[in-house]
Amino acid sequence: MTILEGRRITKSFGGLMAVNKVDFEVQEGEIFGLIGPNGSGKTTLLNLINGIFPLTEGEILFLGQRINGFKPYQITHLGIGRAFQIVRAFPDLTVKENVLIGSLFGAKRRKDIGAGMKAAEEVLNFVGLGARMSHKVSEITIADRKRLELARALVIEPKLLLLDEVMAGLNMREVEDLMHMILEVKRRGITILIIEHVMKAVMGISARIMVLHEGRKIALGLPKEISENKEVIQSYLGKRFGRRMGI
Amino acid sequence: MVKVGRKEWFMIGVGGIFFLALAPSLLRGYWVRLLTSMFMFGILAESVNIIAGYCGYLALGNMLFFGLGAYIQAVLMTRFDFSFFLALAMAGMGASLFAAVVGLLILRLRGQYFIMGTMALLELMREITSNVPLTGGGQGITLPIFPGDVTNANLFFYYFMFGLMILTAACTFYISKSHLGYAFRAIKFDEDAASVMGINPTPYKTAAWAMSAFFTGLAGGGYAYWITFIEPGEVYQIAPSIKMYLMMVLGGGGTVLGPIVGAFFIEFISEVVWGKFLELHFLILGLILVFVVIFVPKGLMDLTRRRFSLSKLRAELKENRV
Repeated sequence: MTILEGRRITKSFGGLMAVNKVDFEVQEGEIFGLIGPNGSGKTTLLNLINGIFPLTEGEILFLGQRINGFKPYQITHLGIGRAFQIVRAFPDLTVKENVLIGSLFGAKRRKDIGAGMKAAEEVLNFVGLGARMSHKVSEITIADRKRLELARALVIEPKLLLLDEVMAGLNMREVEDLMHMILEVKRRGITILIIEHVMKAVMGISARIMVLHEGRKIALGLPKEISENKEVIQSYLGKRFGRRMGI
Repeated sequence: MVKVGRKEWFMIGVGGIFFLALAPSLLRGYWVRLLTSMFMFGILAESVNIIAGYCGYLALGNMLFFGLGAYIQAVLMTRFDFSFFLALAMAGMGASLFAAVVGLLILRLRGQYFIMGTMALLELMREITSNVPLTGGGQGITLPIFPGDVTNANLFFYYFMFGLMILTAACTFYISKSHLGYAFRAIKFDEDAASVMGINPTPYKTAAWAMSAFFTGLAGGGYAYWITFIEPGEVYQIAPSIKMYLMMVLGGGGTVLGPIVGAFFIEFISEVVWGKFLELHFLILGLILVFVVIFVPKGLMDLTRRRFSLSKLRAELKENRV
């Protein structure tokens, strides 16, 4: 079943086409990878999905419902969670309070603070931040902040999770930890759309991958097909270098 | 400095309330009046705290609601023969309603644009009030005098402002522990991020401003009856707005007791300095502010949370500023 569908999604900033007529479907329960060189429009696409920018053209359907024009909080209430590339946790609050906010205002909209605290603790234990709950965000490491970003997206209890480069800046061991965590999230029945530059990670866990280049979709397929696709390699390495490599 | 825990705060709070409740029987009229005005600024600083300390708006025009409250009180009591408390309720609700309606428009602005918007509103209200016959125009308006002798009047307003200050602090405490408080703090740091966490910012921002206006309006209403004569140029001033904001920053924005501590500190110091050094008043007050801001940038309340150490301070100064 299709959980998320984009039809001719287009976003222009003045004369710049950041996202250009992109069509795609994300199936329920899969991990859907989104890759492309810097500036190819990946993050913009996520911003369109969760309502931070309005679309210039096209439409987005979530579980068959048209969601363009919805505000970010409405989209959160429908069950789309988002972890940002640049950590957007609230710096003066503790780790637990940050996650608590999502459990109070997310898809469940809990009325009881105590119940919200419990849900926040569960999620924090799941991402391995159980021991850091009462620390301020400014006091924890980059790796922990990335985990916190994941926890903040999970605690709203999403059906679809948007992950934007949650592995950037982590060492190999930390990347592997996070990969296991993401697979565990998928096992629990949450669909995942992931942007990632760490190729090993995205190739390893995604069922299908879409490649953007200068706002356009240049490929969509299985990880193996993508890694052998000429146009994809050229978009990453440049045409000249690609030719020299014999591609 | 010593670290102060929850239990200690409770003791300090109860002790302070007990002492202040008994104080008028021990003190002369002058001190009673000084404390009354300290309480009033406590209310005002705490009100600014709701919209600025918790929700992150640079609310430098809160005298708008003070003036509005004062004038609703004055007009209702003199022209329509309302009792003090009925008029007071109207003053609070009127200011609050006004904030909610204008807030839908003006709370879209942030930073310096928000300041400009609120200050323009303040000027606008002053001009309107100065030119409408109902409010007595630029000549001001005289309220009925409190029935009873001066001592009784002093006591009445002392307990009025004292009670209202405790009520304001209690409400702020409740807010800080509720959904509202968490939504406010999220909006303060990053409105988009708050929205992605499921918070619809508009109703929360409006609620914060309306609550701030409610308590400020009540204080304005009480002030009008206390002073018995108000004029537009006095109650719609910018300077006290800035003063209450400073009090909040000095004591610690986003904490429950901070703004009250800041208000007491500035009002008291200012009164003492004013009496001793008439001409150097602002210089001395300014110097004290500069020192506090350099040494405890998060406000006086921060001293109770961390131990004070010179080396740590030096490291912080190096890291953040200079």
